[in-house]
Amino acid sequence: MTRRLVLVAALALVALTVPGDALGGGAAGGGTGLFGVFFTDSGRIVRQTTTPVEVQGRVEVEFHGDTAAGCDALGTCDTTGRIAWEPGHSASLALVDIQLNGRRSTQTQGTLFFQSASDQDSTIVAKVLRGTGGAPKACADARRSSLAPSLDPAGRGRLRVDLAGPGREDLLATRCGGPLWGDVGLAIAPISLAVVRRGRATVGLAAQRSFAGHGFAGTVSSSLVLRLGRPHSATSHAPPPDAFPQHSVRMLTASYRIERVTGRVRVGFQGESELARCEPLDACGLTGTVDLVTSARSGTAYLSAFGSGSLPRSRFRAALGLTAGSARGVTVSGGGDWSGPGSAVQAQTWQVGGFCRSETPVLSGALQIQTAGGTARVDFGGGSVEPGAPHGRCPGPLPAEVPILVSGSVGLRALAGRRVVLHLRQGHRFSGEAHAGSTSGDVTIVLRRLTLRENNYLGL
Amino acid sequence: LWALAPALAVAVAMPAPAGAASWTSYMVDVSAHGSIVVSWRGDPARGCAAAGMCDERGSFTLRPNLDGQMELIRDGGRWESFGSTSLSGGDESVVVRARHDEPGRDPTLCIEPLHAPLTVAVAPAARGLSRVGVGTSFDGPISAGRCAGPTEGDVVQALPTGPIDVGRAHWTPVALRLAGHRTFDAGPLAGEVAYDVALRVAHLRLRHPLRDGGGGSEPPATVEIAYRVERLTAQTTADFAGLPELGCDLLDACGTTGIATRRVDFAGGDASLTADPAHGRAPGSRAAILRAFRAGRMPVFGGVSPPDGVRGTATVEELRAGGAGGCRDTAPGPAIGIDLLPGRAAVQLQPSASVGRPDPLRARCPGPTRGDVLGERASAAGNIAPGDLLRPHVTLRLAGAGRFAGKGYGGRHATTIVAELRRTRLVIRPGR
Repeated sequence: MTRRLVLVAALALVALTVPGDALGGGAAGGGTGLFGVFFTDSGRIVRQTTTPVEVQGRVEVEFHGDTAAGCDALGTCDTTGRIAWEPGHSASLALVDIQLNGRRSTQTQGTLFFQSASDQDSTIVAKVLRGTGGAPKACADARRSSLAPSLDPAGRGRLRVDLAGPGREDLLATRCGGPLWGDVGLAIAPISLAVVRRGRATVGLAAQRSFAGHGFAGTVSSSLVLRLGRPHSATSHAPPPDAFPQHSVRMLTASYRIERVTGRVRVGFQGESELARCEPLDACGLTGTVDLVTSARSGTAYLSAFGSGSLPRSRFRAALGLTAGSARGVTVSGGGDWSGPGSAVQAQTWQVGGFCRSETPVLSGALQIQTAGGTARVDFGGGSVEPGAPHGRCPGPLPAEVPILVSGSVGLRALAGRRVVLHLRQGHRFSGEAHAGSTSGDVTIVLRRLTLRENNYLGL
Repeated sequence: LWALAPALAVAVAMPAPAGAASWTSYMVDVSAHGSIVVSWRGDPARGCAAAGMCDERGSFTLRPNLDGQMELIRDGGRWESFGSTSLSGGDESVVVRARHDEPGRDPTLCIEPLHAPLTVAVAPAARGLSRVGVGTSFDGPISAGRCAGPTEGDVVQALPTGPIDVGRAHWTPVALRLAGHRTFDAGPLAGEVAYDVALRVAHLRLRHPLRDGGGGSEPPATVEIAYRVERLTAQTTADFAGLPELGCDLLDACGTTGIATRRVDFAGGDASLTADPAHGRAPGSRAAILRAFRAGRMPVFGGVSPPDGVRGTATVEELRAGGAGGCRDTAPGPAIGIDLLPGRAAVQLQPSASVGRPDPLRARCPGPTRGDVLGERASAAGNIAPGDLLRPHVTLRLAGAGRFAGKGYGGRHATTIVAELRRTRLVIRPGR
């Protein structure tokens, strides 16, 4: 996941360089520009191309509870709904050519970044009805999405468009529940790399299929169409050293291997009592839990201290707990992520009748480390993709509404040891749009310190 | 407080007239955290049956989570917030959820995510006190958007405010908890705002004195004309339909048709223009100035402004498929003015930015916004020969029409604006 994040960050910077007038006609060949040299774990980015894109269409999922899909056990038989992703009208398509480590050949990858405008943001909207007969309960939800579909090599000069594959936010996650993106399995036919490179063409991403499983059946369809504008290329070239005023920045990083993350977290929630808050999201009288169990055994973490290069090294070491003394002027941040087996079980009932149960694998998690006054605070935000409570198929709070599951503190000096054991037992309260509750749990994270590395940069 | 906010923003952005008392600028740390729940439903006592809105209800929740600094202006003993408020952390995503229930049918839902940046504002109140409140910034509305529900003008009257002694924040942090609920009138809808917001104002400090420099050098005006507005009428109509290809289903708008009409009709108000010589070269005599003016060699800048307090109206009539469940409502809208700008051979006319915040095409029935119908374009345009502006009676005519395709809705629009002006002053000043 880390490698993908690095690449997406680089692609996002590429996307920022799109000239505003690049859409539409113009001289062949496009403009050129400069960019800094980026590396990924797999190689060096040697060429970047950004193309402005006009977007039409949407992705839609229509679903209903289905007996053959197991709705009886999951409590979804009387549920029907629609979820639509409207990505907005404007995007940038960033392509990078990566020279793979140890090879002369290059590989092309891309990302489609949807641009934000106050009224045209990329948005997920859901309408779900629960119950049959006279008075079904209705849930209506919408949220903004930062989803950036990827274009990966598919062989024979084609790119595979992955709208929301593993490692990214679930395209269908809303407070109303429903199938997850992995359940609907929409596949879009690969597109021609040559067409994408050339630009000034229309690329259709239409697809449709039926699905059934995990309590729901239905159809998923894409009517997305990309109208590519004029590509804008940039060559790999470092900016001249005097392009910006610069000063020295030092960063000292302690890296750790995560040996294991084990434990349980419970998120308990209920619908807000205020009718105007709970009713639109079908959360009135709702109580529920999400139980997360994790037993990961593979991951990495880091703790970095950075500040002016003129500050003494001892302050950086003190900031990381490696020595005693002042850390004045040095900023510390840390984090980590892991992958490994885990699961989340969501179970809930409504006072007036009805229940829902959902079990989803949780294959990764993340932590954040902050330091203050000689103490390191560690927050576990263990969603499978986004930090926060894992999201299932039942209605409930969004991951972003429960950003931290459990926390713990440890003396900063403890992080200097070769082996660090962190116990996270402090729960948190939360209050979202229609749900409120608290978290509790006991998670143990074992870190092994690997290296201590110093980097010096010329910063702006 | 919020109804006054736009006017306040305009007022503080204008330089003080020569000789006016000085203003003093302060900075203050501000935080606001909590929730504001806005809800509404059709109310028989308010005539929802006649408006076809008895089956409508909805809500949205604002979650202020603001921390930052705000600039305050002290004018004598009065405190007012200035436009450069810098607050961060607010959740700018607001989801409007409106529901239409008809007996024997499943409810239909209109969902609209809106961008509604929140801010904190301070305005003067009685007995030397001030009022502080949380509301939207000028970048985004607090309304039901395209769904059936209150307009911004309806909601602002009920947003939480409370008295505050701003001066005390110089010495000690001032904390205020605004908790409770208020009702608001929204035509055929009854509305309520339930709120619980913790406000904190601290560390009031002098920024810099704002003193008017006496106006600086007088512009080298050579022709100045003032008029009285005898009558201004304006009408914009938008015939709309909910269209599947535009995402009408999410707004519960598929199969609906309707018309949104904006009307403005007022007498009074002023108009004026100033014409300077192009490139700074002034003709010598009055006759030469007039010749240059008539020939369009003197760029003209001016405007027609409505009198204070004049409002327009927005009426939305919406019909559902088969003519069932229609809705009709009228709400106050902003007034309108006209800008006069230099053109190649004639003076260009265009509607000035709406005076006031409410969307000029939105009432409480579902329908498209101004942004859907007109985008960033002006609703109408016109021109007039410079020489005609010298006449005792001047008529300005603007018109515009076109098609639109916005979020959920598409259709046609047309605008006409006619302003009858009577000249009250003509000054021809030889160039220096």
